[in-house]
Amino acid sequence: MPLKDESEPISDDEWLVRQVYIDRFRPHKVPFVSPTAFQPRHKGNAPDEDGISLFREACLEGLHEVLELIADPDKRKKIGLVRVRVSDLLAIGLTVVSTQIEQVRGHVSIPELSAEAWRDADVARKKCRDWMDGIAELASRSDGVVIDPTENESDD
Amino acid sequence: MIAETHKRKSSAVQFQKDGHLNRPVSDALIFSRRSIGEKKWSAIDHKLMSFFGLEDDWDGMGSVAPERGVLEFALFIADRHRKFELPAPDSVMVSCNGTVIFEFFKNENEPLPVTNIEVLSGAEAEVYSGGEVIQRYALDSNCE
Repeated sequence: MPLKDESEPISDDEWLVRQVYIDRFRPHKVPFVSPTAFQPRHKGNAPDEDGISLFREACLEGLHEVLELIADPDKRKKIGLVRVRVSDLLAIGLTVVSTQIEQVRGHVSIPELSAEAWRDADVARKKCRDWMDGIAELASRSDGVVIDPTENESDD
Repeated sequence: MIAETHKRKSSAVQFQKDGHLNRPVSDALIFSRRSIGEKKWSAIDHKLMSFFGLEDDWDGMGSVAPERGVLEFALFIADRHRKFELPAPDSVMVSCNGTVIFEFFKNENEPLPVTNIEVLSGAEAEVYSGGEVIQRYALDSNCE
């Protein structure tokens, strides 16, 4: 299948891939992927001002492109990948916007899960947490977990 | 000693109310349950202590390291829960924002929402389930 150009509209049947740290994968637990894997970053050098980051699988030559964003190979070993369908995100009330970056094609953001929303502790953060539960459930489906780093390492 | 006896009786009554047993719980079973709880708490404590060594970008994705005060408050909360024999969390982790999150999972038939305690700073934490904040803890006033 030919790669999609990232300037093409995002279609409902596309898969979006997200990097997830190893301790967010929970063997023998439900949901398998912790909702905290989708918490917007509002501190540090790169807060999720546009929303949490994902990548359009249809724009990637391989999933390694997403993993290789982690420069340190030791840290990279502790990163897994999960994916969710655009249509499923839309169904739980989220949207997806293209937010292109130089390093990898197909970068998108979920604006409802933004740093600004997370900083609003009284209202928007509550909604964020509901959505984080929803995405965790989607990502925990059998076709949602793409690379599970716990299969190769027993961190906890 | 008196307090300990009282705790044991309370535990047995609670277990009967759950409908799992129709006879008093033996001391051996209570000991077994406590022993499992102790193992979980030890693992949680071990993990919490390991967080003191984290630096910014600990995950390679730019996440913030927790401040010492956050970790100390997390240890304090864990210690309090343990002393009051509350269930041990299923996991503890550092969020991308440097907060510490204790996760309590339900069983497989009723998986969501996950109940969490998130330690937000050196003096405040909140208990939430899904989007709903159930309780807030503050270091001075103990609980809102």
